[in-house]
Amino acid sequence: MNYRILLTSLSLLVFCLFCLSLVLGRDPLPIWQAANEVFTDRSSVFAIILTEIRLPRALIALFAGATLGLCGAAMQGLLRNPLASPDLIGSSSGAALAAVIILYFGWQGVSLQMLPLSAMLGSLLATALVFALAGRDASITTLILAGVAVNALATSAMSLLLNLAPSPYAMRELVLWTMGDITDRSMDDFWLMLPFTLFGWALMLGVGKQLNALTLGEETATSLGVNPSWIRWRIFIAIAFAVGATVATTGMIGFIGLVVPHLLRPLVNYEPGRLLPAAALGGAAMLLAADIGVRLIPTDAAIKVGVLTALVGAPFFLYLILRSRKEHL
Amino acid sequence: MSLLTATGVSYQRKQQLLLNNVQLELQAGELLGLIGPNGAGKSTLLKILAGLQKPTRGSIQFQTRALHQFSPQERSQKLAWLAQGGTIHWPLTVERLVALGRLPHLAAWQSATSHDQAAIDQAIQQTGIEHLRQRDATTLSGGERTRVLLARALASEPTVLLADEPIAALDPGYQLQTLELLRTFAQGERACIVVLHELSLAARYCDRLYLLKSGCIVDQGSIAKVLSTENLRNVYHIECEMGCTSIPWVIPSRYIAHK
Repeated sequence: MNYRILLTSLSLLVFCLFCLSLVLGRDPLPIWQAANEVFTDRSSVFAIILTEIRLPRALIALFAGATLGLCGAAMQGLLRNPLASPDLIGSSSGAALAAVIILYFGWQGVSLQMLPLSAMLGSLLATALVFALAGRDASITTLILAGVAVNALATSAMSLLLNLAPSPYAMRELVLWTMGDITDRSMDDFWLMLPFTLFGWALMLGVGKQLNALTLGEETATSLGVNPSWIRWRIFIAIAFAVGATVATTGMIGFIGLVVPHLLRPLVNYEPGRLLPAAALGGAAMLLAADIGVRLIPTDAAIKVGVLTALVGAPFFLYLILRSRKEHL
Repeated sequence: MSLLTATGVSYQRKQQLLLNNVQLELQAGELLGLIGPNGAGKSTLLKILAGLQKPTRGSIQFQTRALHQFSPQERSQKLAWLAQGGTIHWPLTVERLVALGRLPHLAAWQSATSHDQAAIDQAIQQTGIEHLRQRDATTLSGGERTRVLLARALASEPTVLLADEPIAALDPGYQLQTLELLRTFAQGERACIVVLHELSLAARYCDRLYLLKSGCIVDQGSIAKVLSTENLRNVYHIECEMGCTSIPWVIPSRYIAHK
């Protein structure tokens, strides 16, 4: 498929889902009237629903989804393996653990940036730990095992904190937060997440060609003028910033980083560089769609969006494993 | 004019001396053969010449400047390195794979120009892989893959091509075709160093040979000088039938056990 057509249609899809996300909800919203009232009567109920509830939710879904798709594609390109993703190699769980620590000790009041900054640090530390464990030039199996170990460590530390939570109310807060959720977020949350996310994205600008060169292995890429360790650190730090900021805002939303690059890769003829923008758009579309999905599923307690992506994503992961097994036979 | 010079190059990895005080000089217009037994350090030397590894001691000079003074992009425009075997991680089409060779000539946001496309087309045509253009590069046979990767290196339009066993996976027809291609490449301002195991072909196509054993240059110079009975016995532990009819030939006849 033509690359421009693909990006244009993905952008259109994201735009439609974004608008749909503004319109749909528990209470029907007459969108034209609400949009009109944003400019004429900001205190009207419809205007408040639109700007204070629907808009931050849609914006966060858009940016968080794009981050997850982009980081998944970058990680897969860097490691030259379709099974890599930020949630598998510890970036997400490290961020979540750091955030839970902050929430548990009630340090989020210290400063507004406390939560996203710690989440980024946690993400960077966990990712660095995975790579230190796996060693340089690690095989993908070692890397994923190291990821499993670090994920298990982070999860058990989180469980410990949940276990020690002072009150059932505090525990409920923490648990809900780890599920991955974008309801009840405000524009303040979005503005807090935005600069870190954009910084992470900016670090990824221009790495596409280098990722393409890595198709030929690290040595040949070096002979083509690429510096693999520089690219590796750049992508790690970019992921730590963008995923850290995302996880601090939404909790852990799994599998988007794995599934989206996978679905789109054949459409960009397997070029890792071209996959980056496509996966960012695809990730945004998938999270927006999942967030619309949880609003439409009629359950007593609202389903968290992270639960839905995991329910869809985990079987997909199983399918990938089955398929790679078949290819190796 | 000497294009690439190695002066006193040694390389050590984990207490093991892989290269020991290697001197090498590549002239413009030359096709240089690097021969020697498995594990002699040929590939390591080639990587050091390509600037992919830093020598423990000694230095590499490209024309009049030390190689480590070049920026990675400058270096990659001048020197192309062709890996032994070679890996392809994603199923790109052959054409897009060959196009990766243009990377050294493109800035981060620059897209391919008509000159880039011309270089890609020429490399594809020279290596005879026209019919593979749209094929998935991970499904190629060993020989096809070798030629595709060679096309990738040629597409960079380097001054010096460093090829590590480029004909190891090829049938006799493609072996000749590839060496003819390298011979044509190594003319005028350009030059090529090629690691070979096929002694007859080395004798036929190379201008000069370097014979490497256990990290040391044992001998270097003209074909007749390097491919002597003593050298072959000493380095490969073989007796050879040699001669020159219309073309030179070297046929190993007997293996002499190590003493």
